[in-house]
Amino acid sequence: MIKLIYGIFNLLYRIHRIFFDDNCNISEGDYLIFLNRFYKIIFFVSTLSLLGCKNNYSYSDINYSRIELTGKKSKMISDVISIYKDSIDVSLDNVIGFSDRLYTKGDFSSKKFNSTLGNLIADIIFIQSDSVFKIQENKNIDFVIQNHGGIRASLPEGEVKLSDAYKILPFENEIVIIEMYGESLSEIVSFLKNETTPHPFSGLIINGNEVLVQNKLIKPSKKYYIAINDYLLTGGDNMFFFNKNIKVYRLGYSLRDAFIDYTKSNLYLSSKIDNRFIINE
Amino acid sequence: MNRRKFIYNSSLASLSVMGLNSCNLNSKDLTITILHTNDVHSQIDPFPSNHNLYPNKGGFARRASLFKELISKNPNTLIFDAGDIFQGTPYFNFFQGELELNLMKKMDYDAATIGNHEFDAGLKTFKKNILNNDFQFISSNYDFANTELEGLVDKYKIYHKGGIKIGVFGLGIELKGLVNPLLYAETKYYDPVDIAKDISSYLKYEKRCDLVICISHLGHQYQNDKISDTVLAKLTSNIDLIIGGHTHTLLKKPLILNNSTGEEVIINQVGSGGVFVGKIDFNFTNNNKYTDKSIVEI
Repeated sequence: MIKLIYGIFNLLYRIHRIFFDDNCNISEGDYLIFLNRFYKIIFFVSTLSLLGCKNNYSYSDINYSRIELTGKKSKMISDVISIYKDSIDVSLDNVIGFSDRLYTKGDFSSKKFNSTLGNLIADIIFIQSDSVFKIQENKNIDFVIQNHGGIRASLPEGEVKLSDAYKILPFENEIVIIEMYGESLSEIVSFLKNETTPHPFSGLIINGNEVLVQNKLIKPSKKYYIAINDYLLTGGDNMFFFNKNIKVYRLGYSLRDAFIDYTKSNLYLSSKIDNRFIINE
Repeated sequence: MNRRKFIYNSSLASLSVMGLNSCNLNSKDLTITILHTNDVHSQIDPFPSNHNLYPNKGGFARRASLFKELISKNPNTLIFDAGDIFQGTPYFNFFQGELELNLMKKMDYDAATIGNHEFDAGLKTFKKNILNNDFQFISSNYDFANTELEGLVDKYKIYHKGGIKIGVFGLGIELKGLVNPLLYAETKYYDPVDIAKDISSYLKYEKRCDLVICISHLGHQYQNDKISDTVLAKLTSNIDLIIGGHTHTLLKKPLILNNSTGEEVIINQVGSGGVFVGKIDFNFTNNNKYTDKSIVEI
C-alpha cells in the first residue's frame, strides 16, 4: 500500500514538475521535508487502518464431514474425455488373461517381507527378460530387482485387460541387465533390508543374514547378471549402487510389454507370498 | 503552496478510500472455500467396477460437476492440486499429460504444484501442455532457470476473494534419487524449509495476506527425518494450511499441528486417484477467522 501511495505521490510530483517547472517554487530540499512529513502521515493513517482491519484468527469447533457423491457427471467434461478415449487406437478393454484372485503389493508382513503382486511381477520380469537375454547375449540372468514404487495398481480378480497392464506398470521403463561383481551385492542386500516397503525380487533369497542367488552363496569375484529397469539405473528410489556395474545391457523391452507378453502366453496369472525375503527380528 | 495542499489532501483522500476498502469485511461474514486434490495420477475415468477399493468412484467428469456445484454455492472458492497429476493410466501414455491439464483448466482449478511425475514426459512436453492449456503451476523451491520451464512457473500467487487476500506458494520434493536426471535437466531444488520460511513471512507481512496456503508435494510424514508436511509445519510459521501430496495419504480429517511459534497449522491430504476432494472452509466473521473442515467423497 505504501508503495502505491509513494507511486501516486511521485506521479503527482512529476506532473507538477512538467507543468510548473519554470516557476517551480518547490526546491529539492522542500520536497524531502514534504516527503518526510508525508511518510509520517502515511505511517499514522496506515497503522490506524491496519489496526481497524486486522483479522486475528482462531478456530471455532471443527466439524468434519464426508459426503459421498454418485452419478452426477459433467457432460462437457465427459464429452472431451470421449474424444480422447476414442482416438486411442488400441483396444484397452481387450482381455489378455485371467487372475485367480486380487493381487496387491501391500499384502506383505514385517516378517515375510514380500507381496503377492510384487512376487508375480518380479517372477514375470525374470522369465521374460531371461529368455530375451539368452537370445541376445547367450547369457542367463541371476536375479531381478524391481522397485516397489514402480508397481502402481492392484491386479483385480478375474479378467485381466490390457488397461490393467497400463495401470500396474504405467511407466515407459525398459528392462536393463547389469553385470556386477559378487562383492558389490552386499550393498544391495543391506539397502533392501533397511527399506520400509519390500522391493520385489526374483532369483534371490534373503533369510536373515543368509543370502542366496540362484540357491547358491554369493562369490565375491563372480560376475552376476541382474535385471533391473532404467529408472533404477539412474539412481531412482535412491538405489545409487547400480552404477557400480561392469557393464549394462539394454534389452529394448519394457516392463509393461514383458507383463503383457507373459500374460498373453500363459493366460492364467498366479502367485503367492513365500519365503524369499524373511526378516528375523 | 495551494498545489502542495491539494496533493496532500488528495493523497489523504485516496488513503482513506483504501482504508475503507480493506475494512469492508467487518460488515458481513464471509467464507473462503478451499477445494483440493492430490496424486490424481491420470485417473480420468472413474475406477472400474472390479476395483478392490473404489469401484466406479471418482473420475474427472464427476469431480467437475462437484466443483461447479460448490462454486455456485460459494463463489469465493479456490481449487488446488498438490501434484502428481500425471502417470497411472493409458491416457498419460498416449497423450502425455495434455488431457489432464485440458480438463483441469475447464474444471476451474486455480493452480497446482509440481509433483515428481510431472517430469515424466520430459520438460519440453510439459511446457507445451502448460502453454496450450494456460495452466497455472506454482513452485517456490524448484528453480527452472535455463530449462524449458523458465518463466512458466510462479513462485507464489495471490488471490483476492471477497476482500480476503490469499497467498499461495508451492513446494516440491527432492528430485535426485527420485526422477531420472535426464527428465528434470537443469532444474534446481532448494531446501523447502528455508524457502517456506521466507515466502510465508513475505506473503503474510509484506503482502499482508489474510491466509497463507502451501501446496506441497513433499509427502505427509516419513519414518526417518526426511522433510515432510508434518516436519515443515513444526519448523515454520505464518502458514495457515498445508495441502499435501506424494505419499497418497488419506486422512480421515485434517491434521492440526502447532508451528514454531505455537500457532495452529492445518495439514490435509486426500489419498490418490481423485476419489476424494478435500474441502476446507475458512469463515471470516468480523475479527475472527474460523475453519470448518470436511472431506467430500465423490
